[in-house]
Amino acid sequence: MLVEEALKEILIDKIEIEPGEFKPEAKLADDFGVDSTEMVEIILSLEKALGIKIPEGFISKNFSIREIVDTIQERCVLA
Amino acid sequence: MGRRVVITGLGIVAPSGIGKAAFWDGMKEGTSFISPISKFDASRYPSRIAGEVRELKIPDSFSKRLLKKLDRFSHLALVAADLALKDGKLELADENLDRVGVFMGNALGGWEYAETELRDLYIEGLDGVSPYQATAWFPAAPQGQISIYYGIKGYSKTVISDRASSLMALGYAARTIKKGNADLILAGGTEAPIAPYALLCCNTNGSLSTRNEEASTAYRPFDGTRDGFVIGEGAGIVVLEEMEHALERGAHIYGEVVGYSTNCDGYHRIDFDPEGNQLAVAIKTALHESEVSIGEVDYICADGDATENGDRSETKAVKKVFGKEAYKIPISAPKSMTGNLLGASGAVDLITTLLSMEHSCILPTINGREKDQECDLDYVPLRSRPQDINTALIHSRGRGGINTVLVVQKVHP
Repeated sequence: MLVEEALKEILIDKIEIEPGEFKPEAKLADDFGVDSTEMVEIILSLEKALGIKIPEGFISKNFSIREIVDTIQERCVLA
Repeated sequence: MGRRVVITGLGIVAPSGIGKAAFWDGMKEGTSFISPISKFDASRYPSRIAGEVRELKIPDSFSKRLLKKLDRFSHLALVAADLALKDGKLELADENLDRVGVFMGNALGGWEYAETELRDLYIEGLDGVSPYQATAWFPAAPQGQISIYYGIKGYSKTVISDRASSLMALGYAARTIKKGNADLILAGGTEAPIAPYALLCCNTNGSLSTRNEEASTAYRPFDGTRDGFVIGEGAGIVVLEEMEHALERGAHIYGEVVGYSTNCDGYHRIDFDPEGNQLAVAIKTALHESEVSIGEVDYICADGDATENGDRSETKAVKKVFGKEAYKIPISAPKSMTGNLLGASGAVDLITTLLSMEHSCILPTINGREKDQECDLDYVPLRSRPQDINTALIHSRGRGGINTVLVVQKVHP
């Protein structure tokens, strides 16, 4: 599954965003009110959906959707 | 006279009904809401009956995004808080939220959530545990969630004192308003004990009825055939308000909290002092604080433990305080219909008592079969009784010999 698709599904399901809100520049904390525990849930869900391991500190709630997708594509490897 | 504390809103989520009207309709007929546990397979538990809240409808204002992070005991508390505020016609947005508090009682914590996560920890490892576990299970979670949801910022507390938790929370909340440290407090308790681990803990306490085949008649306070109490789930929250504040906004006043006392038996980790000495002291102290004379008390909402030790010691305590007058005071345990809601029981008893005042009707102790010669007071057996109530006592006791007494009175305009 593509990183972007997975992230979109997770944000709709777990954070209850509207599909139209999923924009590359949207920031998780600022635009969707994601807190630190919700960020843990998002990371664990991404790891499960993509079969990867996201090391601690790689992505944060202050990232935009584009930054998260780029970081995972460039830096994360299959678990 | 200093600041006075009145009750202006009732929020109840109980096996007998959600909201004060449904709750009262369910209770006034003296029927039982106790049945075999349906939430999970409890067939191997010694006591496997309970008062369950079967259809908990949570208002849409509480989002799924929020609710999934919370245990059922917080869900119950949020619904009860919402009902209390609506019943009290109170718009918190119009209030100085620094002067509003939340006082909650709870005995067990959020074990439905916690044990699921513990199972995931052992099966899946660290990554299997929900990040919300840390904030979902702990006993102060409902207080925190109510304060966050409504933006409440004043003096607040969670009280953990076994089955006496919520009456103690109410007593301390009333004192907080009386002292001038808050004007409004959402106070009460919540409990969700019908989960595998929590139910096991309740069972190992050894005080639960095992009349599983006779669920609806199992809980028999003050009766010679009693074999323990039955648990129930739910939440009770009231709006406590400084009297002038309530009068200014034209609030309906259900009653006034006029006295409170708590102490300990210092006797045993499970059993109460068989003589009821410290409960008697707590009753006397609460009456003294209330400036209420013995002859003025016209109803007692009993703890109603339905153990020989609990029933007899409570009866002895009442006799020690009231002497011959004790035989004239109706004393009932309406929780025989719903089950004992543990950390929420005292708050539910307060709501029951206030509704009894409103309707001039005392709710009964159901399931009486044979007289216990040592329990010879008027326990209002089997059926409701029409009677005016002006002044009432509420008893709530917990393991380890905790005694808590609240005195409430009608406010005459």
